[in-house]
Amino acid sequence: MRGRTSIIVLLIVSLLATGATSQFAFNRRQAAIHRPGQLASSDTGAASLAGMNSYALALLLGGLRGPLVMMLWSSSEAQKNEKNLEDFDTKVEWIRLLQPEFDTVHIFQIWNKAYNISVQMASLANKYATILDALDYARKIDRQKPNDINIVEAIGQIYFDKLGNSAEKDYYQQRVRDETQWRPPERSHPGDIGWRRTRLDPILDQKGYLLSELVKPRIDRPSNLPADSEWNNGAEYQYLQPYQPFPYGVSTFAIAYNYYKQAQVLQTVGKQRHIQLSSMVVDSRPALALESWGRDEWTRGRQAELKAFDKNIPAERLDMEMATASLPLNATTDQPELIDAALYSYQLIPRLCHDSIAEFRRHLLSYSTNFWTYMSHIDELQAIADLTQADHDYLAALRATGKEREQLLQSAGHSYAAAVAGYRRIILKYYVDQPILDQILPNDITKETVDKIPAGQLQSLLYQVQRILQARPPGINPHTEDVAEYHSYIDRGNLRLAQITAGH
Amino acid sequence: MSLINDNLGWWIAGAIVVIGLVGFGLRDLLRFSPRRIWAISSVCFAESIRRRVLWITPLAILGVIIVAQLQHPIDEQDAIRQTIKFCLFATGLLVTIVVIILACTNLPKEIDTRVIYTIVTKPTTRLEIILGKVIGFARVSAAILIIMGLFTWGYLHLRAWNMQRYIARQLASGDVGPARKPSLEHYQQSGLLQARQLQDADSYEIFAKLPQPSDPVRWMFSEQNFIVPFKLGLGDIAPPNWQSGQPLPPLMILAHVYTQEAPLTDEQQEQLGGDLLRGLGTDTGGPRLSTTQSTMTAKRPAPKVAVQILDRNGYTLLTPNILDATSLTLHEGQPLQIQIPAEQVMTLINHGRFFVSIAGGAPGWLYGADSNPVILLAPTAQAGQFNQIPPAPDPRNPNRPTPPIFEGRGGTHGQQLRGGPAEHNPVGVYRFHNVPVPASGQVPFEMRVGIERTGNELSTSTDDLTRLSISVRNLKTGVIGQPIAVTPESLRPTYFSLPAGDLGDGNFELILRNHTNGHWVGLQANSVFVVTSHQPFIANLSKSLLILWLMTLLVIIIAILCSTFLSWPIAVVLTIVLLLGRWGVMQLGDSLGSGIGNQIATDFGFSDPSQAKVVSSSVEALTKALTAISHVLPDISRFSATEDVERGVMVPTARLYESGAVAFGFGLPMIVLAYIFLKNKEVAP
Amino acid sequence: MSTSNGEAVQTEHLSKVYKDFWGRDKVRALDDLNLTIHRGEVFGLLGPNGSGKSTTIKLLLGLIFASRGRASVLGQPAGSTRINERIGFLPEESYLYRFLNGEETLRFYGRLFRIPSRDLKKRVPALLDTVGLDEKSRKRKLREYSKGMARRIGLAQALINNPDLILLDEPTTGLDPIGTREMKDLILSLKAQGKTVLLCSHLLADVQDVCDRITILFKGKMQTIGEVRDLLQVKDITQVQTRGLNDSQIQEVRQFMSRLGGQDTTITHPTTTLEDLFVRIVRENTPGSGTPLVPSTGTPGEG
Repeated sequence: MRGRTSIIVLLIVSLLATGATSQFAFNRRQAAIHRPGQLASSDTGAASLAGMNSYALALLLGGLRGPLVMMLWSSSEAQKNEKNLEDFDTKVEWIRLLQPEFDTVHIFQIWNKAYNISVQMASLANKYATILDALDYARKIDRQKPNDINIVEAIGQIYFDKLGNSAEKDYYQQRVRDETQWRPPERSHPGDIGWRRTRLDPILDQKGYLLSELVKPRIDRPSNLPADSEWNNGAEYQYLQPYQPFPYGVSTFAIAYNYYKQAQVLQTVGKQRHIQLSSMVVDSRPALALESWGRDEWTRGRQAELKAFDKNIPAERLDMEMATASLPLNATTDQPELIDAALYSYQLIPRLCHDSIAEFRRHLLSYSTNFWTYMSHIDELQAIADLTQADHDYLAALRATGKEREQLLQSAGHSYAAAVAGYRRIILKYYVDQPILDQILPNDITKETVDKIPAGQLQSLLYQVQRILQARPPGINPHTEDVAEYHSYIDRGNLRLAQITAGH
Repeated sequence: MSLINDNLGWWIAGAIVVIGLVGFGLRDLLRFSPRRIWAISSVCFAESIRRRVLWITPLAILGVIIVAQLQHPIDEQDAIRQTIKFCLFATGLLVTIVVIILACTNLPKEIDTRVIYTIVTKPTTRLEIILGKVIGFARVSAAILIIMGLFTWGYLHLRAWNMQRYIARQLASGDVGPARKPSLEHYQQSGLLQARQLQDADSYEIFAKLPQPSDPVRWMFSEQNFIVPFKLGLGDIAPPNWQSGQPLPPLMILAHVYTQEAPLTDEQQEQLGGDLLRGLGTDTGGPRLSTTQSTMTAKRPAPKVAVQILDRNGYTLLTPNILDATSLTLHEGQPLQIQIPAEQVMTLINHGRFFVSIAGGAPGWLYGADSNPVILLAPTAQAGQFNQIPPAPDPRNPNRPTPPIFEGRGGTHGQQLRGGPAEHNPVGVYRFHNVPVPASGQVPFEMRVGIERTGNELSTSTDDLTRLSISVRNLKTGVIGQPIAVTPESLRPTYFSLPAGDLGDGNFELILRNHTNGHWVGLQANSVFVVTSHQPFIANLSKSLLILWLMTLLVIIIAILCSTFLSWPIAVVLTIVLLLGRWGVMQLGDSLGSGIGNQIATDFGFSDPSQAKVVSSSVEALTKALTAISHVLPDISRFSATEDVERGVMVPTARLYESGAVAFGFGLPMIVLAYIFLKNKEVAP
Repeated sequence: MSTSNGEAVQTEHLSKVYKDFWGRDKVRALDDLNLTIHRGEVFGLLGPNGSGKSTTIKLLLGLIFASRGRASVLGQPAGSTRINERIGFLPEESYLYRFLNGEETLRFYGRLFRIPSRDLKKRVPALLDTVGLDEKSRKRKLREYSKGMARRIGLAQALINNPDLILLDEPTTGLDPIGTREMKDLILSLKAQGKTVLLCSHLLADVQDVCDRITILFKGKMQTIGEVRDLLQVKDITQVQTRGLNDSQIQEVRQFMSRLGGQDTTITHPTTTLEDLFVRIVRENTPGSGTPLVPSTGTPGEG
């Protein structure tokens, strides 16, 4: 009897020892990945608890782990194909526990849930819940192996591609906005069996600031890191902190940016490599996410403006441009909170645009493959920044009086003019074919130096382009749609400029 | 032949029992003493218990509790379902492993330690020893099952109680989505641990509009079809003096399809616009059409249908191409005549039963059929004279031919019930017969349908649920009750209930309409159930444990049989092989059908035809042998004890009999074999 | 069954050949045994290890099947279940269920004989008394028993059915001298009750004390059979016993004897007579043993 007891004690001790050893190895590996610094100790406690199940399972199963995992994989995939999802999640959970070390497995399962499984749901609410389940899965892995570029990037991708850009995006984006805002704590908990996530946890407090535990730094900045170097401080929403507060909820693209940025820093500073994506792709994504965030705010700003002045909201954002363009300077509304919402968006967009431009510039320093494409993004972002800055000042002027109003209108005028010029330059630079450009541009100016043309000459140059195009036999011009889009911004700018002039 | 083939196992079993007992053991049979058997079984049982076999149950219980924490269920009911599954799976696995090890090692070990000396030198027959051991281990397995059963019962009640509190909390908090709320309320009312008896519909059809009993013609949309069953024998069409090998005369399908103009859906208008424009180029004689809406609907295309023949599983037997009936224009009052080519007639006779399917063609029309729209004509000896072959008789009324069955367009999840505004959407009808209906109150129903979406309606910032309305028509009185609204989720159970008064005497139709545009509800025969009665969970659990026990009985018998002539490790392996053999062959299933030989020969790339032939024929022979052997092995799939319990469906008593039949039908001859082996075995090591 | 019906045990040309996996003869364990044991006698079956004693007993009990020949027990073919009602068997070692206690063991075997529970209630304690197991040890599991206790419970189970024929395989191994004495007394008392006892042993003194007749087996063959008294009275051998001779004087006696025409003269120190017989049989049947064996009390004839 005593012999048996000692064997049991020995087993338990060795189980614990294995856990501790693997934790030690894990820490060493993390330290090796983060060559510049070490993980703060507070982080490892959570990681070891999250990982314990896996080690215990693996140890108990011994040699059976392989066959079991194989069986689970084939049966879960078969179930997916048969559209029988009853035990699917449980099986995926077990695969996760049995194969905790394989990032490809996790990337696959995250994608599997967010795409393959969610489309099998009929109602949008359940589709959305399935995507959130994919996010939960990713977060579990993230807790287990924090600062893993593959997982962080995968989280970003769900927010950006699935919640931000899929066919059902209108529904998803609205829900993310709503659910990131503060609400009273729920009475059901993730620990309850039978609990299933149906919505995101709030990340904001009542005033719209990020919850303190989400921005608390967890990793000390290594002393040997250059002062200007980027650094992930381990806070969940480190890169959203500068944009606080968020009185209207957080955009799904904002969250995507947060994770894309983390992944990019893990790549740039932590020297991690993504297992599937090229380093160029990872590096470019923060800029693109910021741009999408800006465009998202743009839509919201326009919607708020339209609603404030009781206009119908068109389905396409492009159709929203002209609906309020002719808003007179004496317009009033009985819904000032909507003006606040629009002002918030219009104030945020220029900032996002400039940050996105900075990100694009940073990216182009290391990767020049898409130079021309990203230059067009930069030019367009600048134009958006000017346009929305002008919209902000114009809208603010409606409520202001006296000198403040004058100043705002003046500034709005400047910005509208800059925006109009910016869009005209974009058309010339990117949407006019080289032979036509050769005909119309002054001798010292090339496509690359269009910026040097004074704003006053731009309009007449575009007229010339138009005349040449009209003289040509009718054909399909690939740029027609884009150019029409820019013209609607130019028209808005010009109409508002006319209002400002008339108001004086 | 097939009688012998299908029941080969039973014949062999019977032969073994009779020959074995009468031929070898008549004298031992006469000495048969239950008291001795019980004494031997008691020692077996006591030995197992005193060797602390039951101590493995807490281990299994611990395992179940741990594993149950790692589940990720869809909802509360699914959590309970998965927990039941884990519990019963662990129970089944544990009890099987334990009895295999105990039963396989017992006899070899007793022979090895010579304990058997003191048993066989007593007036015990070897039959009694075998039976005593079987019963002894059956008692051990019963003990394990009782312990695990009690645990399962307790644990599940604890879980269900916990879950109910959680459900109550959620419902009280008020933030439950509209898709989820009805389910939660249902769980709260009827509990999570249940055993219901379900009855499904006798038939289901999809119509363009709800047929009234007085309607002579029933209608379908252009994407639908109706089918009429036939049963064709050689005698129906073969001319006198016909001999095998001679050609058969061609057959004629005579069909009458009604038409009626129908409003066009937006989608169809779009599609039709294209068709019209295409049609204009060739339409030289007619007046030129302007492309305005009114003329388009006025000049709808002529009604057309396509005819094909399906086999009894609904797969295409003769395509419209073969029948030259891809697109037949319908003319008012004129029946369609389609010839079945003479060379295809034999195919139909070989299949026996088949369906003539008539599918709508051109949109903008409703297509209708009366109760007997299709007949077959067979030429007789006299020219111009035909024999009429009516459809197969109606199973519910054999004096009448089967009326046409209306089907919806086939989708991923079954026949599609298209959603949309009332004048466009079809109606699904489930017909129930002889359902026991309570005198008053609500009758619970369950539905599980798959839902497809077109994707056009996705860009919305509010959720759009699939809204179904369900009403019930009393078939006796013809009265249609108030419709209720149901919002199902794809492939999830949905619960609703209808007033018992509406269901009349239990013969009724469930009428389903789908109101959400862009959503397609897939209907199948077993999509809707009516819950006819309930049973306490413990009763259902007991039944399933009883089935498990019957299975272990068989396992014990096989294990003991193997251990009479093998050393224990090999006996363990052989036991597992015997148990899983048939199941394994079944798993290979279709791939073992004919043609596998050719396939393998092709896969291995034998280019030489003689080589390929050798390979393919030997593989065929091998598969035949395998299949034949598998017929003699026990069918453990009959012991499916968990499926029903975990779904909360009452385990049918027939399942118990079935398991018992397999356990005893296979077990008795095994016992006799084991007895014969042991009787002729020198039990000294 | 009427006791007048034939002999207790009768074998005719009983042979047993063990075969190997391929069916080839491996060991000829018993060869042409013709043996008759009368009712009411104590019969001793002697032989060194591997001589065929156990094989004989197994054949008589139906544990193994004869390759040739027949054996009948109490007038029935050996191994028939019906006969087992009247047989008691004490195996070589007590092969019993080690997790049962003494009382349970006896009750179990009693049930196999379908002895009514009421009778068992009386018979079990009585038997345990007879074999000398005290109250305390009756409640202990058999795996905790000493070898002697195991022999006693083994004997008790052999007697549970009040058998007519009792087969005792090495009944005294593991017993202390007092136990041995008790066992011998028990055998004699069984004989007094009119039961037939077949005793199988290589402890010659035991056999000599209790047996009426014995047979000696060696290499599967019956070497001799008869009354113990007759067998030990060897007519053509004269044994001279004297005291006080030195080695040279012994040599003189030896020469004297050979002059008289005596053959195979051995002059030994006295031993028990059965042992003597036993050793002689073994020696005669061991091929290539030219050198005179020095008799000893150890087990002879290992080869």
